[in-house]
Amino acid sequence: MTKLAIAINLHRCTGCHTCVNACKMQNNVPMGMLWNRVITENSAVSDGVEGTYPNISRTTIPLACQHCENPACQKVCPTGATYKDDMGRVEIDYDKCIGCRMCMAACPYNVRVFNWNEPDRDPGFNYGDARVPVRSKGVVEKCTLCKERTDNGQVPMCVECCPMEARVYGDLDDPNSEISKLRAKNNVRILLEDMGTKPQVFYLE
Amino acid sequence: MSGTEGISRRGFLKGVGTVGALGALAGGMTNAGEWLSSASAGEQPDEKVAYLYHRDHCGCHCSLKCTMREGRICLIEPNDAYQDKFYRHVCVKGISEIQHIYSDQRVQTPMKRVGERGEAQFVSISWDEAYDLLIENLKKTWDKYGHEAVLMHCSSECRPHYSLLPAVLGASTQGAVGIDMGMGNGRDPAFGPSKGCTDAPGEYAGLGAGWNRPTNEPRDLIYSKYILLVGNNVFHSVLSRSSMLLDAQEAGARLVAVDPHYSQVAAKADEWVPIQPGTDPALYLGMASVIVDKKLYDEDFMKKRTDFPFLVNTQTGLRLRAGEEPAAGKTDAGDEMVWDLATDSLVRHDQASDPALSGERIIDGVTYRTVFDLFVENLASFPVEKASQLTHIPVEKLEEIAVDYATSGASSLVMGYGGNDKISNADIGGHTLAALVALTGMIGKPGASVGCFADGFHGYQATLGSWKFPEGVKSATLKTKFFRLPYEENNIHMAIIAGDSPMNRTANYQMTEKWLSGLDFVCAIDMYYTSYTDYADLILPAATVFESEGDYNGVEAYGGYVTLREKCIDPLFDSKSDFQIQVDIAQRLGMGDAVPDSFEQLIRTMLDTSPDETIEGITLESLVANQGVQAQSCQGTIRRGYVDRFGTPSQRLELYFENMLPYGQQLPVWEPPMEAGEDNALRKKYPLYFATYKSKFRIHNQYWDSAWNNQFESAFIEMNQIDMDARGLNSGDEVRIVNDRGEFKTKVLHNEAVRPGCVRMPSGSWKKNVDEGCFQYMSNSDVLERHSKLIMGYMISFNDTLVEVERA
Repeated sequence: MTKLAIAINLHRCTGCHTCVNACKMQNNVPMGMLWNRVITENSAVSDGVEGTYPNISRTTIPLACQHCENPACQKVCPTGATYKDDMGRVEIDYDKCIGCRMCMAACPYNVRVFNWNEPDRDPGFNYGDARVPVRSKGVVEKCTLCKERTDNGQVPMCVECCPMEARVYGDLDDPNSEISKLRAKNNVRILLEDMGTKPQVFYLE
Repeated sequence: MSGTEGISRRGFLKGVGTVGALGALAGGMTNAGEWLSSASAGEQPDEKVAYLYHRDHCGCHCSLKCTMREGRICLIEPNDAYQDKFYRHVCVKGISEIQHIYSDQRVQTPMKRVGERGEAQFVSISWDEAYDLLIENLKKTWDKYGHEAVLMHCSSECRPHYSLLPAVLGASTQGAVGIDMGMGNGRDPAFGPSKGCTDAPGEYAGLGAGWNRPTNEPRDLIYSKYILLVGNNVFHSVLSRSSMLLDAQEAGARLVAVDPHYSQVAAKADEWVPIQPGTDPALYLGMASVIVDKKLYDEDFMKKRTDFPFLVNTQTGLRLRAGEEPAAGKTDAGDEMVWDLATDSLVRHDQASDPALSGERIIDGVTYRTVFDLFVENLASFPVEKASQLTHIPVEKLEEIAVDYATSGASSLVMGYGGNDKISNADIGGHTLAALVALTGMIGKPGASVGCFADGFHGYQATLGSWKFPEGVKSATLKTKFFRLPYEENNIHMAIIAGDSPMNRTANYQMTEKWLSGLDFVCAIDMYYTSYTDYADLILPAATVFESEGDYNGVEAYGGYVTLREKCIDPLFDSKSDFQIQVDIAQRLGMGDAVPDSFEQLIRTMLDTSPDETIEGITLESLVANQGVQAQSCQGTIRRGYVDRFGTPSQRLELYFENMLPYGQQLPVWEPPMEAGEDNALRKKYPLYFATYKSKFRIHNQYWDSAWNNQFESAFIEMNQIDMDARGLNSGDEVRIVNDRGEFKTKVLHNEAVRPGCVRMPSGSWKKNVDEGCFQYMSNSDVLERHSKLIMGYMISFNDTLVEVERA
């Protein structure tokens, strides 16, 4: 079996947002929507902190679909539009999506976005990878782990573009992969682990 | 063929004569979608790829792989010709070009002013009308005041693009500087020019020229054991090339970040040491004091490689020489004398085997002391306790920093171009950095270096050839520094300005606006309506670097590579490339023969006439075959400067500055910032320290209208809760930032990363990004006479600024 995943080294993440725009570009994500964001933990501003000066700290966390082993979104999808594929990715069949947004409510990571209107693209044309399907009004979308790239042996665009080499992409079912070795380390952080969603995306502190 | 030609251009020009506010014109008349509406017709559905280097001056010099589909740029990725991730990169700004290139905020056609200067009332005109208007005004100015009365001024980004026009026009040009040289002004004279002082054949022209550039290139940081970063936020300011700092940390270097604010470098460092703004020189002097007191210095280095043993006449302050004092304009023989302990005699420094570092000598009735003795005496008045009091860094911490720096075995001092580099005492800080090197010998060895980190400029830099103009076709040197034009009498009556240098490279911007208003004619060449364009009589729409008429749009040599800029798309809207604008003007002046026919011809000239042996064999064809990037032959060796000698006349590190005797700064002496000092009485009126920083989403004033980057951040100021509470402010409140120079209005955000007593703001926002005024109205334009005697001349103390903040 194959279980594709991304590990993100939080110490190497400088919160630069390159992965955010890389994802937006690759996947033709419209204005007002993002599949991938960078959050600054417990801060309202991007370069903010936790604590009181000078006893402060900052953690920036790139956040997209966690490609859970036990996806909450899939369980609530009434049409089977959200599914776990044979590469271990959580995907959406846009043709089956009826826009009920149950998945958005179920996802504890709040990483799914909905096309409330006809997509508003700036620039006003379909940019990104030609292989990525164009979504229409009324469907939910999110990180596909760059399905069109990873199906063809390429790494996800966020991994390709990360200037800090903070991201490691690979197969958790391959015990010799770099990502499997990282997963076995004791500095692994899983987001909202107690939710039981078993994210495949994980973070290194 | 992108489809811009022959589509709605004719329809658009029907709008000529429409007068209205700029916003309505630029946004309402047309947008990228309309211009591109017929783009797909007749286009092949297949994709094509081009490679180009992106920005000239942000420091990262990303080479990008651009994919075009149906004539539009749809993907921007790192150029995979690079194997090494240190060079293979793109950042948030590079990718945002997908939108930014096609932005409806672009200047789409030539625009002529119809309102008053500053009102931003323009009407669209044709290129023919635009060129006629420009040339009419050129001739008027030339007839009345001569060719030098026309200023051709470019921002750092645009300067490499405009290599032809200043000569064609015989215009005054250059004279910019004033920024990024605050510390270099004081450090670099001690080191001298690095030519011939590197350990590999590739020369590095910038080192020692006044920019406080790192003496080893950043790839060398991985060999450091201790890295002291002061006022440097490289993870955001030079983000694509900052990863090696983390590599160095993983390799075992201890990173200590000194910064008033909790920068991203502070967040990633092993330790953050907060400091009072404007006191970096006190930190360095305090470190020197500890190193001297604890005798942690390297006596061998001091004797062999520095001027510490030189003898100074205690009456005149001049160094004792074998020959005459060098006359002005004459070569300095570097023939200073020392006392040789081996022979107990006075000899030239290069003939002594054991020069004395200490001791008073009376020679021919005159008392001489060594530079080292004077330095130690100088430091005695600046004990570490004084440094602690000024910097607010505890004595123990200062001692720890000094000891770690001096004893790690391989230490690097890494500064930034923001922070203290733009405060009036920056030269003293730079001078003291040289002193720390003189004491410890932390230079020219693996992992031992000093300087500002803004990589891309700091590896090898090949010398490219340049276009040869016919006899008599040449530019003039601007006699006044650009940022001093509003304050000094000058001969400039007309200006052609490419890029928003006026707002970004002059402080106290209202004075610059007054100067612009008083000129006879101002022509702006830009892609966007920034702030200075409001004052233009004519705006020419420039294409972005992704757009060109010909197949190629530039070549550059930076960071050990020669890189090519291939064409991605035709110029959008009714814009023209910078190259074409220059050629058009030359042709209309009957000087078409003086300039190249095509950018390809210019690129071939630059490569074929290069005198640099490290790029021998690199041609346009070989660059094209290698995805637009080829390494210099020396790139396999890490560049380290001043390995066995310095570029000074004595070939030693010369810490003693005789030309600073009138200012008491022959050896570095603490001086508070001219405005931002803690004891300045002005603080009663304006108690808050104001400085701007480089945001990860902008390159100074660039990208402020980028819709993709504005998803994340807009203009704001940030303050600590203590200062917000004292003023009854809440996060998101609209506030007025005020001092005697001016004011502006924007919103305030609470950020506990900001030091109490400080206000910070991302640099470069345009006037339209804030609600009233301009952030640059606040900044300090005063100059110190002392700086004019240093190698880079006057500096702009942008960050030496106090303000008050009140609810709007």
